[in-house]
Amino acid sequence: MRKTARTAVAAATVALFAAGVGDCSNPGGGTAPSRSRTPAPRTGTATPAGARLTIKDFTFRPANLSVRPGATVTAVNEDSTTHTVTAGGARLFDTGSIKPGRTATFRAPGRAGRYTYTCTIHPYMKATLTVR
Amino acid sequence: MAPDHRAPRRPGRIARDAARLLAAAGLALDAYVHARLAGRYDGVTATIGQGMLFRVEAALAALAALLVLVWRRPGGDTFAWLVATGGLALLLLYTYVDVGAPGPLPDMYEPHWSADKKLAALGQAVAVLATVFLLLTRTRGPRRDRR
Repeated sequence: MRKTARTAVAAATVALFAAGVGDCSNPGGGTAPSRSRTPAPRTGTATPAGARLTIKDFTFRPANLSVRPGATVTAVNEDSTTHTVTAGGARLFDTGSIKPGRTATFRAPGRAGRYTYTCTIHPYMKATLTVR
Repeated sequence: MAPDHRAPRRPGRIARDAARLLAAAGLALDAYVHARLAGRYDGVTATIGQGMLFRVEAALAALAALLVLVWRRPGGDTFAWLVATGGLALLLLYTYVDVGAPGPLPDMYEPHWSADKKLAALGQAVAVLATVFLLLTRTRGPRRDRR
């Protein structure tokens, strides 16, 4: 290998690590976009006609939504990537893939209780649906 | 009794063998994580799905690991370096920059550092460093770095 090629490999490697690996411990800082990763949790209450939850910045909003049994819930994906709204475990409800900018609806469980749901693509996204 | 003509293993050779193992392990880890996550990301689609891209990355990383470990030639080391460096660059790009959905590619922006992403990045970073070492310490001349 020529000396210039070796130098290029070394320089590219140094640039790559300087660009990002050091930021792994601080994912929210540096040159990261203005998206907030940890918005303050809010609690929402459903209207009799149904409820609405928003997906934004990889977060379900509100973090705890209260609805009546069997209510129709509308999920709006305001992120730039696809998400789902899926009840964990028994798959009590599942919107399937909601593409960016799209909306999906699902029916809340008929039994009162507190249901944790996630995005199956991004399992670290979690929120709660309270039926009462 | 015939004299033993085998030369003792030099420290440089041992270091290169260790680097090969590290590069292959890092690439194998990269391949494993991407192959495992591919199904989950099939829902993120444009013309090409993110799951398919993950499978391509897994296949390339697995091939690179094999080449580094078995073929042991500069061409294979360079290919492995390209796969690891390209994979790590894309991982960092899609973590810190929302580039949207250019051309046939889906929007793969994901700012969260999940455990799987950390694992893949670790494997890629180790592979990058190990392959750089292999490429920069390559010996010239008739002596080949082959068994």
